[in-house]
Amino acid sequence: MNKKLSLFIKTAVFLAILCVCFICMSLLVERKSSFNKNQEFFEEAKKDHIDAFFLGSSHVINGINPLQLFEDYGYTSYNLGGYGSVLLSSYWQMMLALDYCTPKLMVVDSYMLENNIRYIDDPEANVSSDELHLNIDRFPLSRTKYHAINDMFQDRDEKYPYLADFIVYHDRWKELEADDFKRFTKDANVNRMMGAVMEYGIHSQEYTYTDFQAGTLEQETVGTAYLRRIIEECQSRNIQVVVVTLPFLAMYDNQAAAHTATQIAAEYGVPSLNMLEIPGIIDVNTDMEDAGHLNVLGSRKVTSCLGDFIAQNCPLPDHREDSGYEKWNDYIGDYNAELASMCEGNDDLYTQLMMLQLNNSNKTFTISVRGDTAVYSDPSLVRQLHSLGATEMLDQAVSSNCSYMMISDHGVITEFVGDSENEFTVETSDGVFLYSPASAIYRILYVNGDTENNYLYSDDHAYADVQLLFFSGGVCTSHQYYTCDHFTYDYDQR
Amino acid sequence: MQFVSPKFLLFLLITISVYFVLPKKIRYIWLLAASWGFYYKLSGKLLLLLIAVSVITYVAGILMGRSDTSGENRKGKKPVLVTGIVLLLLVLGYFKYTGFLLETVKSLQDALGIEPLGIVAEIALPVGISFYIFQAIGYLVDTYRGKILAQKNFLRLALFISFFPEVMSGPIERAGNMIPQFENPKDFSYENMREGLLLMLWGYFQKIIIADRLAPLVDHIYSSYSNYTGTLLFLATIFYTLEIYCDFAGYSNIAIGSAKILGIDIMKNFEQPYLSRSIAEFWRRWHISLSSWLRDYIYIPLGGNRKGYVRKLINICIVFALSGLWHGAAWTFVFWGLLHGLYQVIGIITKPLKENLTAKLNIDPQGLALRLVNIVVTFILVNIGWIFFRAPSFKVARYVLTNMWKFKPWVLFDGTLFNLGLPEADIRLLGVSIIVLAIVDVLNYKGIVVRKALTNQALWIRWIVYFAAVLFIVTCGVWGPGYDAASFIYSSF
Repeated sequence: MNKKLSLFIKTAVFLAILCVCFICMSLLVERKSSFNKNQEFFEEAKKDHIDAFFLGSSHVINGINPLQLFEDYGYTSYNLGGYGSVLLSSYWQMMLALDYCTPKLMVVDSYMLENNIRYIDDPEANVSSDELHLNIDRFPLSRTKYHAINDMFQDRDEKYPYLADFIVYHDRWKELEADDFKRFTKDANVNRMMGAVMEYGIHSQEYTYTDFQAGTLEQETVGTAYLRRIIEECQSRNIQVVVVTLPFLAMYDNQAAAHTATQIAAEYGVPSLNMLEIPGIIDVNTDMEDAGHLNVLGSRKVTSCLGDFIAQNCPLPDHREDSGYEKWNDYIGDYNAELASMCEGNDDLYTQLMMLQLNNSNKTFTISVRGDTAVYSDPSLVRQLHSLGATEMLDQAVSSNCSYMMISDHGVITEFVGDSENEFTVETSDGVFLYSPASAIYRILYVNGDTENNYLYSDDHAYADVQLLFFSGGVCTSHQYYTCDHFTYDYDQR
Repeated sequence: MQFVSPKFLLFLLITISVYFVLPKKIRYIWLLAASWGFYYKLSGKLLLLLIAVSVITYVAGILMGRSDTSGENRKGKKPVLVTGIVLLLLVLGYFKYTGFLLETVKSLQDALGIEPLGIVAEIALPVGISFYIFQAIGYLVDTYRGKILAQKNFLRLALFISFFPEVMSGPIERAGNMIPQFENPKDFSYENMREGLLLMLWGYFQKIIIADRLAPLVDHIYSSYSNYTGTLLFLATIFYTLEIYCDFAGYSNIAIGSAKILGIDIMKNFEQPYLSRSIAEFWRRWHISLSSWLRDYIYIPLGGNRKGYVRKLINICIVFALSGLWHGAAWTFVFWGLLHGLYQVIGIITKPLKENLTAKLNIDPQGLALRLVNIVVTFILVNIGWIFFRAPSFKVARYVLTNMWKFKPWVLFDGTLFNLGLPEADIRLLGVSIIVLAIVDVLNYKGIVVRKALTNQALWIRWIVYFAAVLFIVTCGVWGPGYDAASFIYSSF
């Protein structure tokens, strides 16, 4: 009997240690994207610090910035958007998150409301079920997770990797990096944007937003059914709901879906905000990464609009001065520092100009475009210059294909157009600038009377189409050259 | 439900747990239910075929048993035996060889300029049919010979034919060994469980660490064989030689280990075959259950070595040709079998010459040098044989065989190996794993069983090794989504 008991205990201990080792191994090899995205959610949910959830697809991930909402309004929120998410997966994302905290407000984006595919693993779904790993891997196995997987997948074999992700990730043993081992330490790499991801690119297409005068969807879809379930679940838990449609280049069906979302919200008596219908929120040609996703500039505008809407319709507590929220301020500081660091030195001219739009009020910089340049045939660039404050003088330069100069002194714009021997003097907070556009190629820019240094001409970069110079304390801190070749720009910096 | 799946492990856990809880008298019924369930998950409705084979075997056995009790001699039993075997072979022939036969007839008609048959055989090959039919035939012959009594309990006989660890790919067991174990099941034993689990672990190492990594390399080269020459082709044949060993020996170890946990001993199937010093020895170490089956039920009935020197050589060739045909319904398999028969015939004919030569040159027959030479030569001969086994046609086999001798050793060092469809990390892991395999096989050859040596170590050392082994295999093993569980090569025979 004693021997049997001893064997039993030994076996139990052996299995327990093996289980611990196995769990550690599975944490080590797991793809860290879900941990990265959701870890701060768990940290903040534990402290009951999250007052709002944002649900939706990548439109939401890129479009709504919780840090900006905190900085501007003091609202604490978490972006639970998932790449490729449809309303079905958003519903279950919400249910999983609700196991950890109950927010005061649920904001749900209606994108893909028209989707009528019942299961995510349906070959017709046109949704990458792999992307669902990002949303749910970090959530431990629970009854809710089991129901979620059962509800979202029809093929039993497809379910297992979501219930036990080691099945798919064990093969990552060959790509382990230092960050994977940090999973066990406190310096693990996590999303410090509270679930959001900002995009810093800008598309190069010429978009025009068309209002198709679409009505509403003709029939109930899986999307509408799950939007209703989201609203009903929230109402049963006394959580306020806002149905939104973030701006993008919506087609007929998308616009009908947005109208239907507004209609459903009205049915349940919850506020809705269809940003597709509000003119001027974003400029589709400067504020988007591509036809569907907002860039950081668009995100700033949309988040601001959403913040105003929440403030008016369902205000949340302002936590900016509350103790215990220091992390939020730290993350805002990090984010702003990152933005500031990205304001100079971008090798992509479009991104560079976008970052200047985002943050130009505390800088002195000049943008010089030479004459006889192909740049003026680039409508995206011309539009961006206008967004930075260029006036009709830029249009004159475009039409006569001559030199153009913009001096921005902490947001105050001075422009010059044309090629001549004339000298122009501009006093800025970073010194006195003397500008003379002698010819299309040879222009002069002296600063503080230093005629030894002409900033706008060097033999090496004589044919640079666009020159961007930053000044601080009377000294040029960065000189960026962009040479245009059919709207791709070679880059150099000094 | 393949051996390499969490489902199988769960199935095994449940089967074993229930097995030891049940009274001994009815355990075999549970094992039969589990075995049929396992086979149903593998083959669906083809379970009915397995049951039909069990019924045929049972009825034939009972009829032979009646002849025994009625005092009839062997002559009275013979028609029953022949009928039983013919029925079983007809089943095997229909499912396995119909397509082959039609293809052969068509080729002949083509060669003779006759309009070919318009019949196309689309018959699904039931998993493990070659194995369980051979087991059934073995049972009938043993009953006929009076080595065992006819089994009166149908369920027990059905279990012998369907026992889940063996039904897919053997080992091809004997009723005399298995049925008594079903009749007198053992108590749960910690030692059996440990032994069984360690065997399974080693089997998984062979299968999902080595064999399943070699498979894409071999497939890559064979699928575009004409792009390769020289050492890379030679390497592909070596890879296949190792792949088929690790695949089948891995499977066998998992099967034997699973049964061991239940307290059931299944015969060994492999004993370091690539360390054999002759082809005859190779066949005593490779797929032992089949080799001994062929010896007992074909070679000996044909006369074995009792009917003269030439007849013995002919018998060997017949047995190996049949062995080739058993492995696959294609002429390449028959050729492979014949080649091995021929190797043995040449080995027997030249044996006196070799002995004289070693004596004259004063070479120690047991010396390391000669042993090494013998092992290497045998390995290369086996390796050549596997080309016909792996190649989809004689054309491909001929290309590989004629082009693999160009010596281009730099492909081992210039990164070429990393461009064969397997990531660099996997290739490196494979290299290390093959070294581990070789060390363990050499130790086993020398009589040192690593499992047993390990069990003599202190508990903490044992546990560290066990934990490391389990984690290594589940992490680095080739399994999960995208894994083609087809993959036990012998399950298609």
